[in-house]
Amino acid sequence: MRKLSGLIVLATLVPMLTSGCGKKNDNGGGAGPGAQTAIGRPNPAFAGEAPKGAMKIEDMEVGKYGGRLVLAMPGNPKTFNPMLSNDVPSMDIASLLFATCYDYHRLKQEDEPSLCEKYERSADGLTYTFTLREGLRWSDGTPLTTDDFAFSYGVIIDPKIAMSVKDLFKQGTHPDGKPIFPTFEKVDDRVFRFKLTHPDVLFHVNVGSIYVVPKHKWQASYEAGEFSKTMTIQVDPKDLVGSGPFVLRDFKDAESVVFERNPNYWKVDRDGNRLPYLDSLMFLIVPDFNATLLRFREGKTDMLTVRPEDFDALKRREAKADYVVKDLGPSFSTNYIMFNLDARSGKDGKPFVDPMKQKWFQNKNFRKAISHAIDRDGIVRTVLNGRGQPLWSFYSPANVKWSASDKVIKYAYDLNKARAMLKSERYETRDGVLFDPEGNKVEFVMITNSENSTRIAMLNVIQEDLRKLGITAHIRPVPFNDVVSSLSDLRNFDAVLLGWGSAIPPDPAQSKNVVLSSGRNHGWNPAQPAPATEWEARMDTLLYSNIGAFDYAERAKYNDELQVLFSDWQPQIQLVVANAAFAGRKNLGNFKPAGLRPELFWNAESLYFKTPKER
Amino acid sequence: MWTYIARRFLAVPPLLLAVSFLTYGLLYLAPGDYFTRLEEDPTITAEYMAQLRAQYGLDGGMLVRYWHWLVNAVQLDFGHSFRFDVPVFDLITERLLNTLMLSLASLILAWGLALPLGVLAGVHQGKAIDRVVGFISFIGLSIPRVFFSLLMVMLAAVTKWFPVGGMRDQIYWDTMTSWEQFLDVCHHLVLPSLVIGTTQMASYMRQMRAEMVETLSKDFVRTARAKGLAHWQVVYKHAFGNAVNPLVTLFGYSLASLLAGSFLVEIVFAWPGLARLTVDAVFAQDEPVVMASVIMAATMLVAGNLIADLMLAFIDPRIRLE
Repeated sequence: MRKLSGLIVLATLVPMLTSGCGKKNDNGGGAGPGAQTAIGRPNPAFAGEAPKGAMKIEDMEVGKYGGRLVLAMPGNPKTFNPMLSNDVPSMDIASLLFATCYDYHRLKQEDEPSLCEKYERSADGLTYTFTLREGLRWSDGTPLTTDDFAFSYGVIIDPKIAMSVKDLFKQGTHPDGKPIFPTFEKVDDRVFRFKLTHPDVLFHVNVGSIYVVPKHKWQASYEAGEFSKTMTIQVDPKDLVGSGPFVLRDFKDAESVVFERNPNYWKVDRDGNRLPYLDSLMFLIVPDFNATLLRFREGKTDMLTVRPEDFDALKRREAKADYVVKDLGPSFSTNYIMFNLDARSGKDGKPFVDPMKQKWFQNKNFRKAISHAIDRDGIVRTVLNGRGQPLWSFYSPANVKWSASDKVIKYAYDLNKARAMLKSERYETRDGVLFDPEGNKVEFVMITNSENSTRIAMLNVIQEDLRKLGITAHIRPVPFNDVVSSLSDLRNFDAVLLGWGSAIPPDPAQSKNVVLSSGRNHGWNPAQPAPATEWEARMDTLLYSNIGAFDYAERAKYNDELQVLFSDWQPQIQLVVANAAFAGRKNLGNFKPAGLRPELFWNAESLYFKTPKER
Repeated sequence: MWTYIARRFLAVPPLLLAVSFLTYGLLYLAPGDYFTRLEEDPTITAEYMAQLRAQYGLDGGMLVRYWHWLVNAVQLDFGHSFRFDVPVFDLITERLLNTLMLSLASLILAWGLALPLGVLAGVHQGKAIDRVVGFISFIGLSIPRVFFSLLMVMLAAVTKWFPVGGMRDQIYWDTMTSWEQFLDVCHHLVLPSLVIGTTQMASYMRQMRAEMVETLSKDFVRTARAKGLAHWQVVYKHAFGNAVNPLVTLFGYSLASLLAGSFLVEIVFAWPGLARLTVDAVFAQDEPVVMASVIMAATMLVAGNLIADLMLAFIDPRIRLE
């Protein structure tokens, strides 16, 4: 791949002091220029006509062909295998190379068709029939059919391959311990059917999270037991046959990933022009955030995720510069602080939490008082540079369907109220120090992961706030892995500050691990054999009712009650949510960043340059 | 001489064994493992985690795992990276070349400047030129590398004389001729090698100057002068040859640290090098990559030291290696 470097090693004697490289030619890859169309000349060209069943994108403006979009990304993708990716760069890249059966519109926050034009659910909710679009082709021209889907589903439910999407399809376990999966049935080349054992409100979404991979390419290696070694970063781009808007052209380890148009892509704009508009797309791998910012300011990259601390500076220059900064308001990522409510003991017979502290943490009014004592606006001002807002609900207000942010209980910053609440629980303040009813000084440790300076800064504000109540709260930043072992195995923490990102779709069904008392991320008291408290039992019921219903109004009713209950009991004291902002060139059309991944290029096929530039 | 080399070689395997065992032990003792970070995702289940750990051989005890690694490593199979699922060997060789390119460029820069400037300062001790050189070395020694790197990146961004990072011009690379590609890589090398080179240069230069000053005050120099040799002959033939001796050892050691010196610079300049790979691997607990990098660095260190000793014996006939 890089034979040349070896020679350069020996020959680098004189540092060159001038820039001296020809930079005129266009990106002239292998494919010749395409036919002239009303909106320009795609290069590489499309393969023939759009498929008969092509999906029409109605909510984007009609663009122009041409140009290369350049973006920075903090790290290498780990794999190009869309089924095995579990890190952000790889997952984002998978969405460019592969398509799913069903999709989720990142702005409307609604399901939308994708490779499948429709699905039907039987009245009992146990049979799903999906229909693929007519005339779909893989990027190498081979027809994309039910067989590819059967192959992909077979890979997913293969017990030998570890894959996170597998769990979405589990419908319980057989008596012998083997998981039960829905059965797959081919009807014809375009139609296939799933039979479930019990209803699942998110089933079509789960099917939508399957990236279909081409059977004709990978069947042999799958049968040889080599599936996890296919589509690695060493793959020959020619073999990476996909169904997304782009195909891989070149990958340079730790330097860049280059994509070009998939000539067989199956979406068209509202005038019927084939997509994508962009000829190619490039990711520069830039590990340092300041360097990323610099590259954007220099015009080397076209889009940028704006950090809170950079927002003002970028916004100030916006009028004169050739970029726009879009403020999306609250992001989907939440921050919360959580006390350890686990009353159990470890293997050594010692309680996880000192019984004296347990009494504080288990006390609902103690938690509520803490919630009232935290100056969330202060956190937004000092930690987030004013770029954020207080958070009251389990979900960020960005989650329009499920946050219930107008219904949940809000804990205004009110020290007097906090003191009164503590007093009603017979806590006393003497010489500015808070004592519990048994006369113990209230003092505990708050941990968070040391890699995240924002979280540490939040703890600093909280520490100061709690001092005003007479509480001594120590801050202990520890490596992320230590936080995890404290939470999952050792269970020895007092309080922890963490946050949740968002699953896609951001649906309550995705919060099972957190909300259900049996969930392993039910961090304040995880994996309970039976609900420890009445309110946790109620939350279990409400979540099960929610995901057992299909009607949104009914689901919303259960969700609202759950969110209010959650905010009342404060098992997680919600803190703040930062605003999301993105910047892009003014020359960029259909620049509509979303709060959900991949935020900048979820609509990659519709992005275009108003004046296609020569690069 | 040959018995000496053979003895040095025999000492290598136990050394590497000890280094690898210690590294593996530390990795094992560090909390969590490569897959722990997945816990941040609320939808990940315990079954998935357990299956991943079993698949990547993370479910055994420390000794079992180490033995497994060792048996493969002896056959030069360093396994597959957890992160990339590709053979570690492939991953490392490519990065190794890039790092060596950067280190060699800075090495050449550092020595190319350090020797002449050091001699100059030594010969003109106490004069203006000595003070200027001293000032340069003072700056080179005291400026933190990260800060210097960022300054240079700023310089590149403001003046546009140099690229702000990377190893080549990504956008036009495919359209360039080999000669243009060569120039392009050189152009990208200037700033990072300058940063690394300057800090190294400073200490070598001071060393060179000190040696020069000392040698020039020696008796044989006075003798040389007394018998009427020209000034340049005294300085460059007699004094320099003697003064440069200790620096040869230094040079050998700097070969040994070729792989280690460039981490921060690689990050700031987005240089696709080995140091970045290794440090990322340490943070991610990508065991196979960490192990292979450590073994490689240890081998380089041993080899560098050996070369340093041999060079010294070669240059100075008074030294005999037994």
